[in-house]
Amino acid sequence: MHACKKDEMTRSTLVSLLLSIMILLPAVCSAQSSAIQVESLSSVISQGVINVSTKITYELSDETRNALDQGVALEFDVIFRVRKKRQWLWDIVVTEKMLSYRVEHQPLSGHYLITELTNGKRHQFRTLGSALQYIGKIDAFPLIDTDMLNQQNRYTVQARAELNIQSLPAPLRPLAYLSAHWHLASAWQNLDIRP
Amino acid sequence: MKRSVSLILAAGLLLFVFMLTSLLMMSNSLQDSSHFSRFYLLLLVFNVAGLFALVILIALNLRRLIRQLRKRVPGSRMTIRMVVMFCILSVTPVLIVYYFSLDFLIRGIDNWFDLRVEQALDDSLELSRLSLDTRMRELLKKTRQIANEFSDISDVSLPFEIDDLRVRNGAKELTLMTRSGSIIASSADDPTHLVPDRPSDTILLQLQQGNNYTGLDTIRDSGLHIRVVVNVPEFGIEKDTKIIQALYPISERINELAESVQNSYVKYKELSYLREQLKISFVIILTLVLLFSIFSAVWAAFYSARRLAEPVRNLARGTLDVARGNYDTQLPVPGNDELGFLVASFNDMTRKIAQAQFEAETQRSYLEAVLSRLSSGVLVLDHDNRLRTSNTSAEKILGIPLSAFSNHPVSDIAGRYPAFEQFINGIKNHLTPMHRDWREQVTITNQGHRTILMCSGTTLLETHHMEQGRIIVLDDITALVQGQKTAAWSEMARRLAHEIKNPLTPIQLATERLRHKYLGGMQANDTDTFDRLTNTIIQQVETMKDMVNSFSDFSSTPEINLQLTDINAVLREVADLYSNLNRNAEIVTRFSTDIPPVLVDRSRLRQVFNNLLKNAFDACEKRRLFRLDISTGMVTLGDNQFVEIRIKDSGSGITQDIMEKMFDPYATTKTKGTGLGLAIVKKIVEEHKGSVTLNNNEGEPGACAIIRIPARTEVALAETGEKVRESL
Repeated sequence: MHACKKDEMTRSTLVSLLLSIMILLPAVCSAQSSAIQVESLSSVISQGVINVSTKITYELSDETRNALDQGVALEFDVIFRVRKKRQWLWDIVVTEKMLSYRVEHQPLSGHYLITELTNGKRHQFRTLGSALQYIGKIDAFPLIDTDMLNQQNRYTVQARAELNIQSLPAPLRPLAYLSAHWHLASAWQNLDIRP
Repeated sequence: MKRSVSLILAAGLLLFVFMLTSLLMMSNSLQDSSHFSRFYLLLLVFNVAGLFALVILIALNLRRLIRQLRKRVPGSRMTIRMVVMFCILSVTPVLIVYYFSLDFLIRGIDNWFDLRVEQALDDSLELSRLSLDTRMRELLKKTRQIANEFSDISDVSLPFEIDDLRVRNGAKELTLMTRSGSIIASSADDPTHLVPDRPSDTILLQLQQGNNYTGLDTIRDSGLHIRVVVNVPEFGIEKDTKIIQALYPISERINELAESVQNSYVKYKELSYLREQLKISFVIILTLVLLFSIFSAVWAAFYSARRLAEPVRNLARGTLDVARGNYDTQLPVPGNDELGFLVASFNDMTRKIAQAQFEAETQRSYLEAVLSRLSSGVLVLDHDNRLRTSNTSAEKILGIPLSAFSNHPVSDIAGRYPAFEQFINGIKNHLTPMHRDWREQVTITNQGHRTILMCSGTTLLETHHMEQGRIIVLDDITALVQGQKTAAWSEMARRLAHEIKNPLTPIQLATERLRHKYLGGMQANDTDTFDRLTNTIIQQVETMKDMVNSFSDFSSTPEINLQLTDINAVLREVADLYSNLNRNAEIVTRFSTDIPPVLVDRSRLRQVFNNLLKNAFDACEKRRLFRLDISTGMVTLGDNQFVEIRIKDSGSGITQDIMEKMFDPYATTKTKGTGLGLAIVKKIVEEHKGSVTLNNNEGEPGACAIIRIPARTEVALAETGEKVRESL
């Protein structure tokens, strides 16, 4: 009787585990096959400011591309961080800055409109590739004053780009959170710097 | 318990309110993304978590109910019935509403997307495109003409001519540049705008391939413009290949209309694309609402059913308590409804039962107290002649611990105690249903004591468990009978003394006178006879006088003169008198030093000791050597202390035939004496509230007299009011 109960409990635990895996699997897969990659990351100190340049390639999934063509605006965030390295403790984030771009399709002209959400500037591109190429090239983005950094310490500049699911229309969000096709994010690209 | 229930209720209600609010917010975020849109997923997760919490609450309630059902807790079946009923009543309409709502919702969303509307929007966009294409073709043609004109203009005059060409052709901006994008000359209608809008690299590449470009672009946030870029015809290899870009504004109205068409188209397309997701989202919300309603209803059903069943459960528990004899049970009154009235009636009933029980208990205690204080012994037997009740007086009278034999058959008790057997044998003729009221005198002997009992009995009415039971009342009338006997003897002795004493003195006087008058004148041979005869008369008269005095002593009740007396001293005094009386006698005294002075009549006590010692010596006179042990001590009987005096001889003892009437007057085995010695001893001892017994010695010849006199001291002194202490 007890053994039977135990078996039932084990079975139910296994079912719960499988369900959890099924729910979490897409997210895991997306993390493994990233459609956005930070190709390069470099920094230059100019007039006491650390400027970073990066090249990011965006490769949209069929679902996201289809959604874009069907009028859904996509927002991409490029996140830059400066982390202070510590020997015995975990690193701390000194600063974090983000550039956000909205990509829209204009059916009348057939062009793609890029809006820089940080300053409101808009740019129009005939093809999606050129639009993504535009947002993938960031030159000399002022990240942090060298005054804020200690020369004795070691720092790491990190860059990452991702599709902002939270900016999608509400009905699409649950699917986007659960589907791997909507989890577009790059891994962190690191660059060690010395101020 | 009550507090935790309130806490669970409050938590449940709070959860209910939060979930309802979050569901409303979710619904709102779907309809208008400006509100709560950011929290959509959070609200979704919160609602799912809330549902889980409700499921856990229901599961806990269900588990509790199943446990109660297994333990057969009163009211559990009723609770489960009510829960099932509530669930059916609440869930059924909710499910029907859910089904139709879902149907309407899906149909409603599908109806938003009419094919004709979609076609109209496509057409309108196409129309806009065609209209703009026509315009673009015209402007391409015009721009080509401008390019041709530019090919004829020398580089020197270019800056002057370009402005004229721009104005003439209605362009907003006209720019001449190389294929690589380097600007040669430019003209714009806005003089403040110094830097011309540069075509993108893609356009330049297209131009480098020999193609022209015409497109609809948004220029510097000033709305749609038609951008035309064409190659300038070349006439000589020395010249760099040039291109010209013209930006033509679109009229404000067309701009607005195009923007409107585009926005509507985009919005519609987006909605159309999100149609399935929207359906899923609405279905999710509706399902959440359904589950929320069902779970809330089920939980509320559990709560309500428990609340409703609680008074019934309490009543059942209270009834069980009452059945177990706990009449102090009081239940909480749930309200003013019928159940409340029922519970209040139950409380009233238990209160009255408790009161009645208290009264019965009081009555029983009262009866017990009365019975225990009764001098008469009371025995109650049931119809099987089992002892049901007895009082302490019965135990004392019979000398048997009857309380230890409750519910025992009387035959068992009779088997263990011969006295009880004598008692039962004496009344057994009356222990039949035929004898209702009876009266019988029974004599029993318990440890050598003869006790006369006056027994009366009756058959009890048929009450519970006591059908044909009997009640027996017994009184120890030994003292009464003895008293009556003594009184009769005293009266007889008094009369005898009176009748005999009166003629004795004249006889004695007459005899003495005869001697005095005739003894001297008689002849010698007559003198002896006369002298002997008259002396005999005088001696016999003296003897008779002594006898009469003894009778008189026995019958008289002189006032007792209590004094604090050292009993040891009195006893030693009497013993000394007898110590020299007979040389064969060995008198051994063992007096306790713990004996305090007690209140006794010293002279009468001396008489007691005197009589007893005389009796002992008389009993031993036939023996050559004999021993007399005289001892004193203190004994405690019940709550009272007694001075015990033991006078033990080694004489012939007491024969069985007179054992029972030893202390009766004229009960004697001696040839001389009045037979009043022991009767007087008993009388005096009883006047001192004491007792006297006379038993044969165990295992040796002789008898032992035991006198017990209450050890009364100061208290008794205060009662008598005599200053006895001064007399010591």
